[in-house]
Formats: sequence, C-alpha cells, structure tokens
Amino acid sequence: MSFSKTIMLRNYDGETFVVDEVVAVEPQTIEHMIEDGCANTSIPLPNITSKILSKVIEHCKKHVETPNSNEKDAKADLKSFDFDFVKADQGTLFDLILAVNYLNIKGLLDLIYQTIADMIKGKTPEEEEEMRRVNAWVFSCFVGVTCLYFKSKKI
Amino acid sequence: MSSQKKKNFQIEAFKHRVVVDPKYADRTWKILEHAIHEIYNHNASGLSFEELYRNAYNMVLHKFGEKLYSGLVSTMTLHLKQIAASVEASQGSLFLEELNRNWAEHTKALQMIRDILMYMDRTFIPSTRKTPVHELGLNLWRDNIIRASNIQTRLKETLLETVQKERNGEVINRSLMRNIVKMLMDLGPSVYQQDFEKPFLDVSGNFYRSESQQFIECCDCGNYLKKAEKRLNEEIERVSNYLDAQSEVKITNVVEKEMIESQMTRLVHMENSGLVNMIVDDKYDDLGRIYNLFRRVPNGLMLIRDVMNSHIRERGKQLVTDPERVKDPVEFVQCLLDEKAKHDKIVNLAFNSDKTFQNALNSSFEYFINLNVRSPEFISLFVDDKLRRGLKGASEEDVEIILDKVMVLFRYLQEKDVFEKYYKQHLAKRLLSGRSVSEDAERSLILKLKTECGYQFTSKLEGMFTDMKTSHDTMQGFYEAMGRALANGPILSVQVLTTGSWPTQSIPACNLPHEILTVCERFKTYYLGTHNGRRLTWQTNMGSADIKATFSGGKKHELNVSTYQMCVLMLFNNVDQLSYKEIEQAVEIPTVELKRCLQSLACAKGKNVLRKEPMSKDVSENDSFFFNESFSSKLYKVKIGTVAAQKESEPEKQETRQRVEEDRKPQIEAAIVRIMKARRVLDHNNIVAEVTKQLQSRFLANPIVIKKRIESLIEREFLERDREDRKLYRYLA
Repeated sequence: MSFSKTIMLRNYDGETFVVDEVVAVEPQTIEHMIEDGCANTSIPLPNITSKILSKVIEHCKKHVETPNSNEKDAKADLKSFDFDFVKADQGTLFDLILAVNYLNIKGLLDLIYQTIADMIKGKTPEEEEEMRRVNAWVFSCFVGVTCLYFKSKKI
Repeated sequence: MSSQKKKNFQIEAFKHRVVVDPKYADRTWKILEHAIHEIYNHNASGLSFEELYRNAYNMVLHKFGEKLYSGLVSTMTLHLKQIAASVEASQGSLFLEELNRNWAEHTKALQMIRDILMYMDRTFIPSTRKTPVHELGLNLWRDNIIRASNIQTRLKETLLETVQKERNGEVINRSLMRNIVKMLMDLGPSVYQQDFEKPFLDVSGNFYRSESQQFIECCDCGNYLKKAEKRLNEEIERVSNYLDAQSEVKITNVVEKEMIESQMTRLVHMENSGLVNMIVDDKYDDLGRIYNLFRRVPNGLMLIRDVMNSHIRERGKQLVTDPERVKDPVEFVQCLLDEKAKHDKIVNLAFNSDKTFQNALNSSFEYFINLNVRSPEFISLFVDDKLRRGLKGASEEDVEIILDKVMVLFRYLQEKDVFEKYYKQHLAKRLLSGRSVSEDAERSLILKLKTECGYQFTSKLEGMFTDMKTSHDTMQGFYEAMGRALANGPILSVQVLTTGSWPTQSIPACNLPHEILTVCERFKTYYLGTHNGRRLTWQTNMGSADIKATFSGGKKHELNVSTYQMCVLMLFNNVDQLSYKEIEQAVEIPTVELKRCLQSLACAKGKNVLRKEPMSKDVSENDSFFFNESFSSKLYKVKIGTVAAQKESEPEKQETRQRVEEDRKPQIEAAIVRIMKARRVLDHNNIVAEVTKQLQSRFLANPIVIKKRIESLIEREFLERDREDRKLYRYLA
C-alpha cells in the first residue's frame, strides 16, 4: 500500500479541504508554495470561498485522473465534463475567474476565458454594457489581462 | 521540500478585506521588503509564502505594481552592493570561491522572490514591458557585481591565471572554474565573450606564439608535432570540461594558427627530420600526425602534397636515369613497383587514402616513368620474365596481383604503342619457343590490356594465340595424312603465322640442311593443298630445333638450339673444322645473326659444343671452328638457343623506334581526317590540340609531325588551306 501525499487547503470560510498532492499542484501557485517549503501545516487561501474552492478542486481532480492519452473516448469525456462545468451563472463564473487567476491554473483559466468570450460574442452592445455594470470590479481589474487573452486567441 | 509529516487539522477563521487606500500600499510593501531582506539573510523559513504571494497579488490588483517593481529593484540593488563589498574584500584564492558561493545563494534567493512575485511577473510586467523578475535579478547581478570596477578586472585576471597554471602542469579546481564560467554564460553569452573569452583567446595566442618559438628551436619535426598535438588535445579537453562549447573552435584555431600554420614551412623542410625524411624512413605515425595537424590549417595539405610530389619526382628521376639500374630491365621495373607500393602504403596508412594525394602520386609517377624512353620496353621485358619463369608455381591470385600491378605502371606510359611493339615481339618469342609459364596468365594480361586500351590494341595479339592453336591442329592433320612417309625423317612442328599479327621481318631464309628441307617441302605442299591462294615463307630466324649429338666416349646429349644454330651444327656432320667464311657461305645467315649464333655455340661456358680458334670472346671473320669432342655437361638435355628475349642493343633499339615512328604517321593522318571530316573547317592550333587529345591513349603526338602530316594530306588533296587565312584548313570531300 502506498501513501499518496495529501495537502490541506484552508479557505475564506475557514473550511479545510484535504487533497492529494498530485491534484493540489495543478494550480501553479500552490506548486510554488510547496516547493518553497511553506506547506508544512496547511495552505491558507483566504480570498476563496468554499463553493468556488470545491469547484476548482473538482476540476483539478478530474483532469489529473483522466490519463493523458489521445484516445477519443478520454478526450470526449473530458470535453463534456468541461462543458457542464461552465454551465453556471455569471456570478459564479466571475468568482471562478478571480480564484483561478490567483491560483494560476492555466487549463481552467483558458476554459473560463473562452466561455466568457463566447458570452460576449453573442451579445448586443446594450447587453454587453449591462454585463459590465454588474461585474464592474472584475472587469476593471482584468481588463488588461483579458484584452491580452482575447488578442492572443483572436476572437 | 515538505517532509512526510502527519498534517494537523486546524480550522481558523480569516477575514478577507479589499482596501484601496495608499497607506495600505506602503504597509504591504513594507511586508514584502522585509521578506526580501530575510530571504537574503537566510531567514526564509520563518516566512509564509502564501501571505507574501497574496500581498504581492493585492498590490498589483490595486494598481500598485509600479511601486512594487521599483521597490524590488532598489532592495535587490542594496543587497548586491553589500555582496560586492564582501567579494572585493576577499583575499587571494578565496576570491573565486566567495564569488561562486554568493552567486549560488543569489540564484536561490532570486527563485524564491520570483515565486512570491509570480503574479506581478505574469500580469503587470508583460503589459508594461518591463524586465521579468528572473532576468532582472541576473542583470542586477551583472551590473553590480561582475561589472563592478574592482571586481571585473580581478575576475578576468584570476580566471586567466588559473588557466595558465593548468597549462604549466598544475592541478586546479576545475569544478569551481566550471561554476564561474556557467555563471558568466547565464548572465548572457556576450558577458562570457567580453569578460572572459576574448581576453582568454588573446592571452592564449601570445602564450602559444612564444611556446612555438621555443619548441621549434629545440625540437625536431616529429617531436614538435607531438607537442603541438598534445597542446591541441589539452585545449579541447579544457573546453569540454569547464568552458563553454562555443569556445572550442575559437581556441583550436588559435593553437592551429600559432603552433602549426606559422611554422608549417619550417617544419616540413626541417633537415634530417622533415617530411622527406619521414617518407623515406616510412615513419607512418609521424606522417599520420603531420597529416592530421596540417589538414586543420589552410594550405597545410597542399604544402605536404607539393613537397611529397617534388621529392618523388626527383627520386624517380634518379631511379630511371641511373645507368646502373638501366642495365637490368627486370630489376628496373621491380624497383618501380617497389616505389609505388611504398608510397601507396604511406598514402593509405598515414594520409587517410586521401584522393588528392593518390592523384598527386599518379601524376608524379607518370612524370618520371616517361623520362626514360626505354620504360615501355623494360616493362614488357619484366612481363616477359614473369610469364616465362617468374610466375612458375604461383597461385592464380598471385598472378592476378602481379599483373594488376604491372597494369598500373602501364597506365602511366605515354608511349603505349611502343609497349605494344615490344610486347608483340616478346610474346611471339614466348609462344614460338613454348616457354610461357601459363596460357591462362597470358590471356589474363591480354584481357586487361583490352579493357584498358580497347579491342584494337589486342586484336593482333589474340590473333597470335589463334595461329598457335590452328597450327597445332594443322600439324595433327599433316601427320595423319602423311604418316608412313615421314616415319624415318626428322619430326617437324610448324607454326603458321598470319603475317599482319606477328612481328616478322622479311629476312630471306637461310640454307636449311637437306633432310629438313625435304620434310619442309612436303608440309608446304600439304598446306597449300588445303588452303587456296596463300603464300608461305619460312622464317628461319625464329625457329628452334632439338638435335641429338654424340661426343667422345659415346656420350650422347640432346641439344636445344635455334634454327640457325642447327644449320651450322649440321655442317659438322661431314667435317670437323670449318672457317668462318666457309660457314657463312654454306648457311647464308646474315652477318650479325651469324656472329651471335657462333658466339653462343663456341664461346659460352658449359655450352661450347664448338671450339673456336683463336680463343676469344668475340667472333671475327678470320676465326676457325672445330667440333668439340670433349664437350660435357651434367644434364642430358642442353639448352643453347638464344631465343629468350633480351634488352635490345643500340642499333636494334633505333630500328624499333623508327618503325614505331613510321607506324604513327598513318594513325596521325587518320585522326586528322576524322576530325576535319566532322568539323569541316578548323584552324591549325585546334587541329593539333584535337589530334593530340584523340591519340593520347596510345602516344604523345609531336606537333611538328602533325604539321608534316597535314602538309602531306594537303598534297594528296584531302585538305586545303584557306585562301585568306593561312592558318585555317578546310576538308575536301
């Protein structure tokens, strides 16, 4: 029987999540923390809520457990998972962006940005304005980054 | 890295606040500044990564990225200045160690700092196009430490000193050097090149320049090269061990230039140990070394080739013009073969079978072999010797090997038609006297000549073989037909030679003894009966005979003699003494031949079946000859014939040469006509060039002779001169 190393993540609400190390290092930020020797007790993540943190962990788990093969089944499975994953309301999505940005999880970041881009694509200018107002803070902070992102993905 | 400890379960409550006031930025920065100090002071274990990361994240998020960045720059610079002071203060050999230690710590600290500031690195820096944290750390190190005025020079000098120590044979700390060099490379290839490589190459150049001067004064060529090779290998090893790979080519160029290129000429021509000596003494190791070293420098191999060429040409010239050597043709050719073998071995073993050297060898051999006009004759004599007895008992492979070697020499000949003439003569003698060791060997050589020169060259030679075979069948037929009638007479063996194929001369037949004449006439009748329209002439200068002779005491011997000798000896059946003049009258053999014939019968030791008075080496017209009753020999069969091929005497040589020249005239004319027929109009120089090219494979055409032939063709109205331009010729259909 082998031990798989586990990491504890503590979030904004004070809840702890015990996660396999292999899953925990999907977010690069956490990976660095571990490397630099700061994961002796547990890793505090004060600016992430339980709801968001559990969603993030779920996503990381799924991607780690799926073997990295070129089989059509595995790919299709992953794709449908991702598709369901982002079927959330705008509020949740924007909270997710903040968390994923902080944690630096590339794959998930791309997925969410693409989703938002698709959302914006479909909207009229009025609807876009509405979206901006509701999530003003997010937009103001991320304008630079998302612009870069949009530019590179060429929507 | 975290150890395998059991994790505690702790539940703590945290408050998450997002505040934007400027004091917040100062406070946050203070926390980070403190952290950086701690990291540099090796107190990182007390820090919380997540907290620092979050602080940096918040600063950037709230648009204080600029403050964070500039704060980072000034804090790092502060620390680096402290480090610089500490490194400067270190004494002597500790300098590099201090530098290396601090560098290692700096890189570790930098990594940690970068991880903490990762968010800024990812977002703020790309959008403001500032230098990323890691690169920033390297640049600051470079500017504050490496390029610090007190450190820059000292570093360079220390590195160069260390290399010099190693060159002098001391052991140095290679891993320390490796780390320092790697540091320079990490700071940027231009740092490595400016701060180390360039001065390194300059200093090395000076070092090797003076070393080469030193060595060349006290070493001979072989030893100098060994030393140069050693230094070269040392430098290559040095680069692979602790310098950057890009320096290998540059430093080897320096060594090559200073130690090899600059001393090239002097080395090659060094007395008693230079290239020529190496070649003469077969010093394969030294030759291999000089080849490998010189091929690294421009014109190195060309120098070797040129010196080798002139040496071989000189040596070859001496060989072929040495009067002693020329006395024995077989030895002469054997010498040539030995020379070729020796130099081939050098090119193959030491010069890597380099094609350009093989070509140089070939051109040198071609040059000097043709310096002696008798080379074609001698090569034919060599072959003759081998095919008559030299190859007796040799295996098929050995035969092929020798013949192939001879073919190599043959290819060098410019006057191949001269060779053909002599070869024909010698082959005829071999065939007619039945003295060939192996018909297979003969045929093999003819095949090789055919492959080399074409069908024309060998068609007549093949004709000779055919004649021999046909004659054999004819003789069988003759004896079957005549059978009884010839039972008691001398046994005849006739070879019927087709005139064009054999080198025959039209010498009138001598007077044959009566018994012989009878059977000869019988054959003639038989032959002409079965072959219409042919004419037979007896070639008495080419035949041989076996006669039984009885000497005093009843001793019998079988003598193998030439036809001429037989005619002379048969005269003594009736008398015991004859004068020269009487003999001459009776046999009607031409003077030169007769004298030679009598000489071989009376003056040769162990073969003197005749006695001459007065006793002397040469035959004069006043001599008398007696049958030598007291002749004795251990063997029953005694060979007296002078049928073997020999080096021609002066007059014979002149004659052959004349005939060769005569034969060339029609060939030249045929070539001229061929060319003019195709080109219609051509000027003089071009005709000469074309003709020479066409006939190159047989002989070197003489431009004067070509000119004469053109004029002859004009007379015979094959060509005409152009009315305006005297140098232009036109073909007349």
